[in-house]
Amino acid sequence: MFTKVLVANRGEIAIRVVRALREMGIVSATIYSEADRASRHVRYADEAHLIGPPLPSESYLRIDAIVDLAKKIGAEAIHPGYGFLAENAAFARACEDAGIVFIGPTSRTIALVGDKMEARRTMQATGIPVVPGGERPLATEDEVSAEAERIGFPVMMKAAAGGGGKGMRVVRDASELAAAAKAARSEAASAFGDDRVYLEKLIEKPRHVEFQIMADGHGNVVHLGERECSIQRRHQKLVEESPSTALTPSLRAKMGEAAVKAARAAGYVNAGTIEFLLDAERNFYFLEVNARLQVEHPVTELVTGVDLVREQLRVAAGEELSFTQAEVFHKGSAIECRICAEDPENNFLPSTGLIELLREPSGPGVRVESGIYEGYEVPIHYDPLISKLLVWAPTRDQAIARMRRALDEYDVEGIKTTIPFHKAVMESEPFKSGEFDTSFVDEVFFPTYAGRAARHVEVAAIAAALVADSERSRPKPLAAARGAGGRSGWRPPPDRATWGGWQLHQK
Amino acid sequence: MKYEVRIAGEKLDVEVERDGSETIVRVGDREETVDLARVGQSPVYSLIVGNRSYELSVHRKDGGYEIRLAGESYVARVLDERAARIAAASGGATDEEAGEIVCAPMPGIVVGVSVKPGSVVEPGQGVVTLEAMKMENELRSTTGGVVKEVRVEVGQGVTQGEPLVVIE
Repeated sequence: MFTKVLVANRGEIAIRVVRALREMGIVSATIYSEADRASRHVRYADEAHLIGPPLPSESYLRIDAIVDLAKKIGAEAIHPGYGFLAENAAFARACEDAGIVFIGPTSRTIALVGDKMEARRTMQATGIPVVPGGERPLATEDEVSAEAERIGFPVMMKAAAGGGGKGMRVVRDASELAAAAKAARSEAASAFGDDRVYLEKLIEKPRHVEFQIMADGHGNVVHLGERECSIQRRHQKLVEESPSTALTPSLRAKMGEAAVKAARAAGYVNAGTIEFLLDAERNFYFLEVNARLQVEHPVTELVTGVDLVREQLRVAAGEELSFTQAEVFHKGSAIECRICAEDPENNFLPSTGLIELLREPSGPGVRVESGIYEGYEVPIHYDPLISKLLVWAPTRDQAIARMRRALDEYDVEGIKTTIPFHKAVMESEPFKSGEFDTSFVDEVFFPTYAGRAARHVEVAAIAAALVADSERSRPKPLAAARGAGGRSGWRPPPDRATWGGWQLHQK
Repeated sequence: MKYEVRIAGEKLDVEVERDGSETIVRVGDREETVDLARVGQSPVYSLIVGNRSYELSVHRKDGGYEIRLAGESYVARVLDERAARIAAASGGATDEEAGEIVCAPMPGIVVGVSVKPGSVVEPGQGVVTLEAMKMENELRSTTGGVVKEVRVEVGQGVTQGEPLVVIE
């Protein structure tokens, strides 16, 4: 096993990886940008190394500097986390060339699955169903319209080098085709430096279901079941859960088998995810391979009991998987809510600023993966994900109730977060019933979401009047209460029988 | 002592009466014993109204208080009787909004301006698109009105809080 590992990431995922390293007795080293000097992952790790200015291209994305650092400090391996360099084949290759273990698949696998058309072809060749269409990149507009006629409208236009929703366009008839191609090409060119597009048949209102796979260097490949990720906004996942309400045991077995086959076809080692679309008739289609540990990996950890990061480290060190397919068991129901520094009542606008007050939920079945703290200034340079809240419970209904309880306990003050959005999702009927697809957030949820009504106006007014009143009778406002515990401390409760139920002011 | 509390677009009359160790509050025709206790030196308070228990935090803001309670945030201005009388005599228009200035909520680059001086905007209408945090963000007017001034153009970098569009 390794003696020292460099974690080339920041925030909650860096902390997640360092936790696994600490439990395994491995020295942890992290990198940080100037913006992250005081951040939690720096304070938590055994070693911390400044890598550059705040801009990711000058810090967390510097391949040479990170590989050189690993060599200099004697780290045998690098864990990339997710995002930044996690799916960068050039980074994986630089590690391989420098004799440093990249904790993830080989650079060859990353390059193969990163080319979306190449990945499609590989999967198709092994008999895994793919969405109809997309056999070749389309260079001219004549080719685009011929291909569209062949597949039949509506179609989905995608960037050949794509991912993350960039360059993606739904085209419903021939008249929209030219404009969509032009826009998609320019978006793809600026995002990936490659303006090739391809077409697929549009799967209407699909569900997004992915399978976690784990493979070692000894030919063992297992899947750890699915994660349901249909609660998305603009192709960004917001809520994930396992098991999916859309899968029957036989469909799960079939998709799991396909996922393992896909991993073998790509020569996959380490942790990865095979994404599928599920249409209304429950036909599944290969979508793409995510060649990394994913944001939502703890969902799988909660229902299987497997520590995926620990397993990643073992496999990267050349060991065999610590379990076989027959030893993977699923128990209960897990849900993850991604807590982002965004304002759900204002078009999910990023919310930067200072976290003035933070209270995190805890108690039975609650797991918080967070990189924030009181006094944390949410930087503008990085992903708005600040924390992941997960729950586990024996049944889905209990997991939803537990998530509502945990969200109520979660208090992040000073910035806007998506906590109110998640509360509303957990209370919505389609989510509770399990009958939803990827159009849920935009087409079902938002048209009826008006934010949460102010429910405690009178109580807040009473609090304000009491604070103002106590300030009048004291020389120093607010601060006077400091250390004055005796004065404002607990008093005997009033005679409860005298006062009837206080009705909350409902708006 | 009687107070007028301006909160969530409402004016509530709140009377606070302290009698020894007991505090009584009247709001409208309701009367309750209350107890407010600060938790250590934090901005967190425990408030018991009758027998209902609440946890909230209090922050000073713009001459008033921001109260955060059950995931909701309220800005409250508390006027004593004298201040309330003065406010009423001056037409009560002390802090009523007359238009809006749409400001940049974060540093970024303007990538779109969808209004010009004289444009009529509806509440919730997008006026400027700002690129920041790797995302394009549509900034919306919260009130309706007529655009008086557009202070930025496409391609311009802006700092946090910089006024972008003035609406009357």
